[in-house]
Parts: sequence; C-alpha cells; structure tokens
Amino acid sequence: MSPRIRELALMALADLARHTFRTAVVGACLAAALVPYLAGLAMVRGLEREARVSLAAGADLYVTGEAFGRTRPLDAAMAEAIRAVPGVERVAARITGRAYVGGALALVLGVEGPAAWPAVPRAGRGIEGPGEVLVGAEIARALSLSPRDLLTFPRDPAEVFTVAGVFPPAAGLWSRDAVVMGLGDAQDLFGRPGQVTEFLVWVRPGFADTVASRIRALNGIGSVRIQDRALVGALVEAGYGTSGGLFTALFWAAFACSVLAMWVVLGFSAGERGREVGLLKALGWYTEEVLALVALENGLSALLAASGSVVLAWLWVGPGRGAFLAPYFVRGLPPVPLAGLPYRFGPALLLAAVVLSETLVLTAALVPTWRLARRPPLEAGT
Amino acid sequence: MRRQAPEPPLPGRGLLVLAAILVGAALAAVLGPGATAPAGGSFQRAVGGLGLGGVAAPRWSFHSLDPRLAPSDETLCAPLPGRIFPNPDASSGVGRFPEARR
Repeated sequence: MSPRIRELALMALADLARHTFRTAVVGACLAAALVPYLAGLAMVRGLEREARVSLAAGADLYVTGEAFGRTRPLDAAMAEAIRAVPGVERVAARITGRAYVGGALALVLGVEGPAAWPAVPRAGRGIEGPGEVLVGAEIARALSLSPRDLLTFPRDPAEVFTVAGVFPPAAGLWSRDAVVMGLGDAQDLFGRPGQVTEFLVWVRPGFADTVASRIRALNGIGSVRIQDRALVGALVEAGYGTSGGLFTALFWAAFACSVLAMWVVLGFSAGERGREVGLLKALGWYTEEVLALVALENGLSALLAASGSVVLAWLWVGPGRGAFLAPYFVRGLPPVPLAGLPYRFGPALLLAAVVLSETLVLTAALVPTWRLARRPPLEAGT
Repeated sequence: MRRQAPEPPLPGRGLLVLAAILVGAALAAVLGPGATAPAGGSFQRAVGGLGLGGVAAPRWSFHSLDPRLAPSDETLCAPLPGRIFPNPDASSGVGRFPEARR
C-alpha cells in the first residue's frame, strides 16, 4: 500500500470515529433494509433445499385415487398389480390423513416397513410392532409427550397407542406435526381396512411415462391421478422462484425508501461535509484525493453495515428461530416457532449485502462531495 | 540521550477492531458449519418423501402440504370466484382450522 493511500485510510478511519452518530445512523438505515431481506432469502433457499431433499428421497410416481374431481382412497391389494407392471422396481403403500389428537390437528402417516426408522434421529426407539407411534416435535410439545407415553385419538378412543419415539425439530420441517404408525394401525384408526391413500412407485430410469400409462389402464384400479418427479420438481422450482421473487420485489421497494432516507440523513451533514471539503481544498488537496478520502470513509462504513447485517440475519433465523418472519413463508406456524425454518446462507448472500451497501452509500456520499469539491474552497465551506 | 516521543494512538482503532470482528463473524455465518440448517433427509427417506409446499400441517388442503398427495386445492371453488372457505394456506388472514372436533 502506498504511503498516501495508507494516510488517506487512517484519516478516513479517524473521520468515522469522530462522527460516531453519523456512522451509526448510516449503519442502522442499511441494516433496517438488509437484515429482513437476508433473513428471508436465507429461509427461502433453505425451504427450497428441504423440498429438493424430499423430492430426491421420494418415489418416481405418486398414484392417488380420483372421483368427482376429488381424491379418493385406493384398494391396498392393487399394490401387487402395480408391482407386476414392467419397469417398476418397488411399490410402497401409504396413508396420509389428518386427525385430532388431544386438541392438536396431526398429520397421520401410515407406512410400511418400519425397518427404515433406526436411521431417523429421534428420542426413544423406532416402531417395532403394531400399536406404536412416532410423534413430531410440535405435537409432542403441544401434548407434553415423551417416549413410553400412551396416546389415543378422539375418533377412536378405544385404540391406545404407545409413543415409541419423538422426532427432534431437526428431523425436518414436515415431521413436526406428524404422527407416524404402521399401515395397519392407520387403516384401523380411520376405519378403512384394506385401503390406502396413495402408492409410491419407484421405476427404472426412463420408464416413468410408460409405467404411468400402464397403471392407468390396470383393471380394478379405477380413475387415478399420477404425479411424477419431473413435474413436481418443476412445480417446486416455480413455486420457490415466485416466493423468492416476490420477497425480492418487496425488498427493492424498501431499498428504494432507504435510499431516500440515506440521502436525507447525509443531507443533514452536508454543511459539515462542505466545511471539511473546503478546508481540505484550501490546504491544497486535489479533488481526486478528497473523493478518495470520502470513498474510503463511506466504503468502510458500508462494509461494517453489510457484515453486521449478515450476522444479525443469521442470529434471527438461527438462534432466533425466524421469529415473526417464519409464518410469512410457512402458513400456520406460530409467531415464535418451536424450531426455526430451514435456512441456507452462502457467500452469495454476503456478496449481495456488500455490493448493495457499497452502491447505496457511495452513491449518496460521492455525488454531493464531487459537487462540493469542484467549487472554490470558500464557497464549498459555506 | 533524548527519548523519542511515543507514537500517538491510532484514532478509530476500536472501530477497526469492530470491523475485523464483524467481517470475521459474517464470514463464519456464510461459510461455517452453521451456514445451513440440517435437512431431514433420513425422515424423508423413511416415509418416501413428504412435504414440498408452503405449509407444515394439512389444516386446510393437502395440496399446500405436498402437491404429490393432492394435485389440486379442494378449497378452490372454480369457476366461481373466491374460495369455499378463507383458506389460510393461500394467504388468507384466518389461521385456524374450524372443523368440529370428534
């Protein structure tokens, strides 16, 4: 670094320290716009990532029954017929329903093959037999449930379940309101023996369309709706793209307001800045040197604000659980959720914060300084 | 021998320290292990994929929870304008599911 640049940097630093109020107001204006934007964008990116995990872990085809344009259950015995379709690798029957449990509305999942459960993080153990359930974190909190507690549903109080385990919030957003049980238990609970709500079908690569056509033509399956992974992937991309885009649009509206606020704030100090510029010019400074000093001072101020905003946004969505912001992205969540939404920060967010802050502050500072620096010293200082 | 006067303290040194701390904390926030919340991959594999949408519980419509389960929103009343109920999953202001408990 050349001695002159070093000298200018030290002067800029001293200027910032001398005008603590101005520095604090500029930082607060920037943070007010940047923190909600960064926190919201991190949540949208986290939700999109979680949805992609769900897509990747899910089946290639989801087969649901249809009647009168609405969803209807399917005969569980059709699993064998689907399994026999060429190109099908695996079929799983599942029940997804909803039922009140102790005043809370739970997402009831009836699944086959409890052998997969040991890999899922939880307190307690997995489902080992009929009459055992795993419950999500929100349901467990609402009903004060822990492993080995007993559980009944008001729709069938005679059927008593044992809580085998409780999922922690980190098990995933869509596990929080879930009560997971064996397929037979779910059929008994809903009074629908031999019926399921959907079949999950895994197929060989490139066979999705063919298998879907063959399933629709199966005897006895009736009218079905089939969703495939590619279609749903496109929906996810469009949905989260719209969500992030709307949020960005709202941010730009707030950003435009903060530009005006910043100009007003910097306008309050125009007289002071004029005296400084006039004095520097009287001491023989070139216009470029004055501009460099102001750019260094405000550049450092913007860097402070951008870094601080990223840290505050992380504290908000991480330890702060996205309080009051999370329900904007996931409907029905309480203002302060039990655990925050999924989020994802990255270098791109820090870069965006730095570029936005620097653009805003330097534009607001350099233009008036350039005008002042071109005037004669006595005129600039008055 | 004359002693040399000590160098005056750097004005704004505290600010420089604050800037270093903030930049370091910001870098840790975007690059460190806490930059991304853990995703529930093992739960998703165990249930065969569940949840894609903008709600975590099917209070009104399974479509909002996961379009794979219900390809359409049953609270929609097309071709009539509006909805059967003010579905909170679709940005309505009502946030409770008013179903009578059994």
